[in-house]
Amino acid sequence: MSLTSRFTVLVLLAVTIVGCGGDGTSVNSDATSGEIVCVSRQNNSGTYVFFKEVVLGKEGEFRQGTVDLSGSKDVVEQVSITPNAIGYSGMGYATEHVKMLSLSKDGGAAVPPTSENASNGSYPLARGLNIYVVGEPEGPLKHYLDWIMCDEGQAIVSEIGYVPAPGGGGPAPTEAPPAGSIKIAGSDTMVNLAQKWAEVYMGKYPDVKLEVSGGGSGVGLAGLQKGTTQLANASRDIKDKEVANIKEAFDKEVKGYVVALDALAVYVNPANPLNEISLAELASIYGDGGSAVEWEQISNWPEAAAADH
Amino acid sequence: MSTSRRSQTGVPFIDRLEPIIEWAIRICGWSAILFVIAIFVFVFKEALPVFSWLDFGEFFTSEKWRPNSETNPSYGIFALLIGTLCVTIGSTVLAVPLGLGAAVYLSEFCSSRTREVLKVIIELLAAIPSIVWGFIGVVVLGPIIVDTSAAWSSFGFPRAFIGVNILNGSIILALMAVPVIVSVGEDALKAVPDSFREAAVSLGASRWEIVYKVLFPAARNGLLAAVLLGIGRAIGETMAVLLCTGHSVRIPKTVVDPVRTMTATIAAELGETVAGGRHWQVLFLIGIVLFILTFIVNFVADIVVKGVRGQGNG
Repeated sequence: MSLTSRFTVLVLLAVTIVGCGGDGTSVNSDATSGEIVCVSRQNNSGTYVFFKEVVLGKEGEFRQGTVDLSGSKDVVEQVSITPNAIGYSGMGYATEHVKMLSLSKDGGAAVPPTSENASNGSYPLARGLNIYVVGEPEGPLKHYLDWIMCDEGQAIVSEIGYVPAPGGGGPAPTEAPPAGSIKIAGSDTMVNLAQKWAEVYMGKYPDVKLEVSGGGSGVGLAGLQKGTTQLANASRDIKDKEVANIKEAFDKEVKGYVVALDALAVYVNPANPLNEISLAELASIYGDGGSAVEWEQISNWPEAAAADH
Repeated sequence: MSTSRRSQTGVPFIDRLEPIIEWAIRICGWSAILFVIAIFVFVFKEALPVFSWLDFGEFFTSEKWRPNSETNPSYGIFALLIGTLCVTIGSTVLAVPLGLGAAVYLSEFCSSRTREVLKVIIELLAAIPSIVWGFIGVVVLGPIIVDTSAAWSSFGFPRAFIGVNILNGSIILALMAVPVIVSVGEDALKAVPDSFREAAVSLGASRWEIVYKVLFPAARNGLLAAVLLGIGRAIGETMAVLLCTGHSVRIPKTVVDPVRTMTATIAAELGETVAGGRHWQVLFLIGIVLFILTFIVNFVADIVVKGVRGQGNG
């Protein structure tokens, strides 16, 4: 017995010693300095896929060791309490506790993520938010899609913080929809939007029951393939493989609609002195084998600039 | 049976019912075996196609977990294994002294009124859902760890760059495991006959010596069971770990690095995979690895308990 307890003491001691093996530099927790904490998304997220394709390239991969969170909102929250963090999420999730960076591409001027820059395409990470259904929509599904694209539906897009879709607008459908229920799943970027749509729509047309869930674009599109979801929200484009799977399972084509635009925003903590960043630098932060591990390595890091002069 | 005799009817109803009840109970007992086999068969069946294409060397030694990359997928769970191991060891190191200490206090040192109050509170601790623990870890514990580690970094404590990490997950898991260890451990200590304590006192043992030299050896099996139940909870826990450890595929360098565990990976990714695809198969394979890990823990426990028994008899 005495052996066991001596062992326990040893283990405790060892843990204490290991725990003390840090680099021993004293830092103020409120300022951004040192290691970059890359906040990323789960790989079922459409935002993850979009960011990967645009920033890291088709062949690119994320570095190992990113903190992968499951929700768009979680990313913004984690960045707001972590001074060293950088994260990306839909512009509809911006809060006053985080800062959005302006983005530059190929040496061009830095563009802030605003509605205007998203709709004119000058913001490098502007993207369409999509809805996918199997086959030509009919019944309540068609009615709901028409309503989303009308003035009322598109007003909700702006209200949530995204940009109305090009070609949207117009009067609401005049007829009431036939009764029915629609299962909606997918993009976490769009879940706040989809919920608001459903709430208003069901208030107007109580005969249609909408069940909205998130989970990520991958989850919604997997649901379409399994037949458990009638409408998939996706913040990325559908993959060829997914189109083929649906064609094989239902012998129908996938129909896609761009229902809103988003400027995928890059968020940092308010303590971070940076205001803009280039796509190349984002790739060096997030990419596999990327060179940027510490904030001081970013080219226009304000402290470094001050030291140069 | 005394009640049925007192009822004075010809054949008491309860006696006629008895064979049925006996069978019902027997089925309950055997069903456990049936369920274990059924679960194992199902999990194994889903993972089976993996054996035709997966490179197992890479699976266990590579730290690259990129299951749904289209250009160069890789399925390495080394980092996930290390993550599970770190969090399990961390929570065990924190929970065992705390849990056994509390069990000893409850069983030997405190007044019966204090004990009643404490037991109710500890049982309440066990009733908190794991998602709430996860929430506490992210929102409350995370910022505390970041601030404290920054303040202590001049004393050599590694600085936490993010609040969700091994330490956070270990503390939360330890708090979840403590109620289990306390209640099972206290029962084990209570089961030691008072004659042992009386004999020790008559030999002039102090209270600490009674605990250390008499109760611990006598209640060894029960205490071991308590610790293993606690570890079992730590290995298998998913929701709280998913939120509190940072969910980051990497080999940690300090106790305040984020990691990702195997359970959290399955929970986070299974919903999205197309049933039957490669990613799906590998997730089930991870399930089998977890299965085997718990088997090993149980097996080792069995051997240790038997070894201890053998010593006691000899």
